[in-house]
Amino acid sequence: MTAIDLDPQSHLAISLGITAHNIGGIDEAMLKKKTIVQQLIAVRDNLQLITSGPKLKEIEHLVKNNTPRGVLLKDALKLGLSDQDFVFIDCPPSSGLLVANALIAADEILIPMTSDFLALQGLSHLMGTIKRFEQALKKKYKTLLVMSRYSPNRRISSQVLNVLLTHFPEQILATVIRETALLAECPSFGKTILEYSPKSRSARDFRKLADDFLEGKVMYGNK
Amino acid sequence: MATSKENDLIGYDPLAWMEGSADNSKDHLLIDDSDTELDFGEPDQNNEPQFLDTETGIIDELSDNLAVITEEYSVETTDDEFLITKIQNEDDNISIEGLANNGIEQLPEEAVNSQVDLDATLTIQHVVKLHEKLKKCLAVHDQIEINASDVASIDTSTLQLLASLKKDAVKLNKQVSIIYPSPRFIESAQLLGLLDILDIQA
Repeated sequence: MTAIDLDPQSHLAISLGITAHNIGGIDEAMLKKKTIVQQLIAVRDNLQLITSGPKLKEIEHLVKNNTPRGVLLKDALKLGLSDQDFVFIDCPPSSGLLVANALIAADEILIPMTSDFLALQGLSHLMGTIKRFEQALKKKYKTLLVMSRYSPNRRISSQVLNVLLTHFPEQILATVIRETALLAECPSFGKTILEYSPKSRSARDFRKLADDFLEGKVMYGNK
Repeated sequence: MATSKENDLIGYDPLAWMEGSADNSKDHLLIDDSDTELDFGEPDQNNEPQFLDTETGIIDELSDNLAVITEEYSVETTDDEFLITKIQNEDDNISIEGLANNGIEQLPEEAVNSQVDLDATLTIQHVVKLHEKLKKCLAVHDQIEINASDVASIDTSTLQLLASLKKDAVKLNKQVSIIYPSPRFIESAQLLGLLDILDIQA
């Protein structure tokens, strides 16, 4: 499996313990200075990482004028990774060129959602973007949602989930990731929750979530 | 609108537009680009789009639109009050004053009613259409009335639009009145400290 950090903030790489800022990554592959295979870093058993790279945040300005800017990632992926079971692309939170590149390259979309109202607003914008891409590309993405940082004790959490079930029946993975302090702590140690606290409730949540993803186990909707 | 007793902590549902037709995917954007076809180019022989040359294409359009959304409306919360801040810039196309004088088709007065009836639900998804209606009305009438009697739910973007309209009408020596405001309208305006600007009584 390969994970690509397409967020210039490099949160994915940092969370996996790669903290060096000057390592070239997907930026150089998108700029065609390196192949994507050259950028792979083996970070765990069966897990390769491609970091964001220092040039990613300004890639829009670094591309030659006559180069189509939306297919940089798709073109880079053509040169490798076809042997991978899964390639995950971790996107930045805002829309723009990088997200457009991800949408053009991807077949499926996995959207992590926090259980608060503003996340619904953000999802609304993202879905508008996705629908316009679907119309233009004449394709339909398989879209799944993950409820993350869920606080069972807060009524707003269950109500956000209720709204999501109305609009995304059978598209929300069955396991919700509950909010815990451990999840906030582990990135600073460069460890996943499975490494940081393998017996914790959060680790159990993530294991179940991974099974849901592989088995396609989803929540039923309100419709 | 998914407001209900079972969802009483969620004032409005930002995803409600998804229940409509596919065309509604544009409705949640503040920029009314419904007349603008995105240039994706023609598929090539491998059935891959040729879009995204450097000057045109979906990326520019989408990112620009979303950027404008975040720039044009900013609601800041302080300890005890809301401050609605309209971001000023040279291309501020939400300005009623600017639009009343520029680029508006001059319609005959009788074609546009001087009274605008507000819908029951007024959210950011509807603000573009309301904006269009108001600017046309203001362009042809010196005096307009906004009937707010049916308003059951109104968000900050709509209230901001109305506040902006009131202010700009003064500059244009025109008169805008909000008539028969519903209790919910008054409550929302009061919460945001806009009663005086909108010239309505609590």
